[in-house]
Amino acid sequence: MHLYNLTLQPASSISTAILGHFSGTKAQELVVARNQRLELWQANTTTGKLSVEHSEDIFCRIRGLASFRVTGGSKDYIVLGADTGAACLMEYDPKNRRFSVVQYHEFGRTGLRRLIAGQYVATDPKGRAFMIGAVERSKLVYVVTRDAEARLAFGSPLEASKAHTICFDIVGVDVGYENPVFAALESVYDDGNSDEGDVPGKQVVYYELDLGLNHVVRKWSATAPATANKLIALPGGDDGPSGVLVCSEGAIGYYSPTAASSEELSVAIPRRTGQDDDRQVLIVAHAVHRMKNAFFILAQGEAGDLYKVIVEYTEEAATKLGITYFDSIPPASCLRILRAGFLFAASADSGSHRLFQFENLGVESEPVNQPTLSLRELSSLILVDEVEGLCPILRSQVLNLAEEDTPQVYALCGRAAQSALRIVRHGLEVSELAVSELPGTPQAVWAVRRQGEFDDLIVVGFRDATLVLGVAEDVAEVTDSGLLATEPTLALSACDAGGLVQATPRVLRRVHTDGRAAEWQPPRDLRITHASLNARQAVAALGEQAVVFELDAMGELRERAEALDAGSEIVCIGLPAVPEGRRGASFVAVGCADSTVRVFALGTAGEPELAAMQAVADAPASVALVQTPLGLMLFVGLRSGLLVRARVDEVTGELSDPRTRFLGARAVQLRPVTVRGGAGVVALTTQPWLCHAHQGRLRTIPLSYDALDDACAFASPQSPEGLVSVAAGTLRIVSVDRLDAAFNHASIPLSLTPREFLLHPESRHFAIIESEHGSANKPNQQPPEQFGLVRQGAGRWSSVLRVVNPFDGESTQTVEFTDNWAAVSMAHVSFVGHDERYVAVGCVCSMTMRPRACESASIRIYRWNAEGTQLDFVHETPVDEIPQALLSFAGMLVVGLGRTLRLYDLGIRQLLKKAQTL
Amino acid sequence: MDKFGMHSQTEQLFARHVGTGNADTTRHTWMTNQHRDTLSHIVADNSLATYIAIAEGESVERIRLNMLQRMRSPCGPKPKASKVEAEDE
Repeated sequence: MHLYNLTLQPASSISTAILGHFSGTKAQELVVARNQRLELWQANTTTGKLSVEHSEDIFCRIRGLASFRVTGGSKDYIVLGADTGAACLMEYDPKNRRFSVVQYHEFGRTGLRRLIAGQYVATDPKGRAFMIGAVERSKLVYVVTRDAEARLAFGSPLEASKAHTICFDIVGVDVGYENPVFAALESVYDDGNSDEGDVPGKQVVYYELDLGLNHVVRKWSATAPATANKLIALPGGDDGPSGVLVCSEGAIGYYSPTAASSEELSVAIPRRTGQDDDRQVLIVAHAVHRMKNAFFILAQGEAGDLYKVIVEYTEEAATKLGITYFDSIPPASCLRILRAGFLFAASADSGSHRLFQFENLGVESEPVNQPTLSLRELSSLILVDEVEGLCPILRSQVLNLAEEDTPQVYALCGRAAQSALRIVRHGLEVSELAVSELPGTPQAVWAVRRQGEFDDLIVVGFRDATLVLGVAEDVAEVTDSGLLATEPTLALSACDAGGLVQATPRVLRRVHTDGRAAEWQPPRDLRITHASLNARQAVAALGEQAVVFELDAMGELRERAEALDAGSEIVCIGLPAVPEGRRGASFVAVGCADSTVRVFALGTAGEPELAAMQAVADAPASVALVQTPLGLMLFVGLRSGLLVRARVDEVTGELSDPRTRFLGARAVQLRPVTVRGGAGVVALTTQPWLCHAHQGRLRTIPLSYDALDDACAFASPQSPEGLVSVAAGTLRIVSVDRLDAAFNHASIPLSLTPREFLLHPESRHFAIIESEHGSANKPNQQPPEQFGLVRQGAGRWSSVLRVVNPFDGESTQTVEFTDNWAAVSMAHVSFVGHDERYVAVGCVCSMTMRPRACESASIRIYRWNAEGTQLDFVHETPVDEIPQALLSFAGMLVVGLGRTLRLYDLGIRQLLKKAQTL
Repeated sequence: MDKFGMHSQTEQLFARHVGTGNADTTRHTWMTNQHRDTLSHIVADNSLATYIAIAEGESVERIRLNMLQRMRSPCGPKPKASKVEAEDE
């Protein structure tokens, strides 16, 4: 037996991201590290949307990224710090769409080791060298040059290691074109062998790489505050004062060899008021942005508050520091400022990654160097895009509560103020733009444009009539389009020579722009059974034969003398769109009643020849030939709900590489659409599916939406690649905004970090326990979505037991735990002799982590009410240890208490101890 | 009888690979190295750091800072050498 695993959705948390021109173009891109994957993201500066351009699994745990550009180079390279024990310089190859390794040098063993470099990576801003450091002792400097073929190469590493030294951070200092300098925040520890004197505390150390002598020396050091955790390198050379800012708990200080020691070079970070905790602020993320003749520094505290650091400087060094409150956003793991005026805030455990646009560079009236700050709404940033993520998932269950084709994943995600119950479904998220009622039962819909670049007519087909609607300010019926409204429509298309073409069972009608109409009627009493049109051609089926029409010089559809003989009754036709610069499509696909699909080569004149034939499993319901970015593809939708796709040779018309996939239990209708500029197909069955080229491959992915009866591509100013559809008597205009995420979430926000949840099977309600250490949710004092929770101090717990309805997101019951009690575990129990369902919740009072202990603990028993929407409290039983594990067993409750297991039965006033392990 | 004086190559190895022990390694030294390895692993592994951060209700940066600060002296100062060990030093 072999274990096969398939990653449905890779890690969504971002630990670090870097900015640069990785494709060598003018656009600034982000390279983002997501656990083992390296991704290239682009931010569309006009729409403000983030999109994933390329995602690659590089099979190593990424610990740090730095962007590197050689002096005079045109593109940025990536220095990778991972657990490989090697120095790795990578680049992004846009032609082949992959990350490739430029050079790779192994210096140590793989794994997250404390002595092997890989944790910190820093590059010289002028692109001459980079440093890779470890948590303890090791620091290696690589000098990067160009070799004979002008490719980047680095030589043997130069060691800058120092024994017994713990490193907290490394940055590349901007010293202009002098010898490259790297600053490290490190702390020497006393390993007990040295008895002499005091060991120096934490220090900022400058390591200078002497390019002439080719070695690294420890050039300068200064004592840093004992709680220092981060370094920020200031621009230097001509752009700034050089030097580093050292962020410690509650203060930011400027350090540089040329700085005079001064009171004004250290500022206290403003703290929030109204918190029950006197802890100082720690900086968790920062961004430095260079502009003409100035630079802008943003630092974020652990609560999410952004601070702007103002540096006054002379040629030598900085002279004065100032700090003001900028705005508050959810805490990020990494901040990056794009040149187009956007702030990218990636999150490792706050759920979503956000893109903000700068309105201004700080409120002018904001006071400088205040000890406290008062929270306010966003005044300098606007949220423009949010990419949701699932990190961290605390608990999840796979259930099919909504009774859909595929089950949904119910996951407890997030922490503190970003906690939510997320319902994850496979499929692209669809946003509904407009819904309107239609009379009768619409069966088909088309969208065409007569002039301009957006569609201005929506034509709805009914069983025996056609409704023509004009799209202007609002949708209204149009009577002067020239189309037949009294007959059902089989196909509709705009014509290259102006006007429209409409196929009905009785006639093929050509409507010109000036209102003239020409009709073609089939001979004798034949009726057109199926038709397919494009901008220059038309194919109309009459039983086993089909008539081919082409646009002539006068803009009329001229019938070709020789008809297409399919050899079997035609049930569907697929005529592709006219290729760029051609006079017509070369092939037409025809589905026949004998379960075959035949591809005919149209040629310039004469009878269309059979180019290829494919037998399929069932009668085809619809067929489409589409010129995707990956080649000409044939799609066949079968009556049994299967989608068959095959590659069509563009010269001979032969079919190859057929693939079948089951989509749903209804006949599959296919409609060509355009996705991100490339042609694709929408397949409609019990749910709509989209088949298109994505990241270099063809993918078939469901859309999270209701079943549609028919759909057509619709271009409007609001959504250039939208879809107009008819479903259950309504007309709906929808669009797919985000193509990157194969899974979409619906989230129900919770107030504190969720720990466990249970499902009541009949009412389909969830019981959730949430608890938070050190913070509390006080929505009146500060709204949690933007500002997070109120800090309470160590040892303080807040906890909530909640019953929630996942279909409407309503909490039907909320039980708050008071007096420092917190719920730690929960389980469904069925007690012997009692029919109702019970829930046991293990609670503790004043729990501490180190050591793991509590003041008191108990097990509370709740009973579900008859509807399954509320939990009624039954009784509380004190226990002497933390009840972390609860399980229903043999009609009783098993509890794990410390080192023993105890079996409890339900009593009237409390639980009765029945058995216990020794 | 001093092992370290006679085998200088071994001494170099012990210096290069921190944490390598021998028969005379004290319990304190061994525990200190165990703790340091564990703490640096927690700092390096994002998932583990996030796990501890959620359990304690702190930010991941603060957990990293706490772990790195603890690395300097995880098991306390070295206990006074006993008479037997003092002779060997």
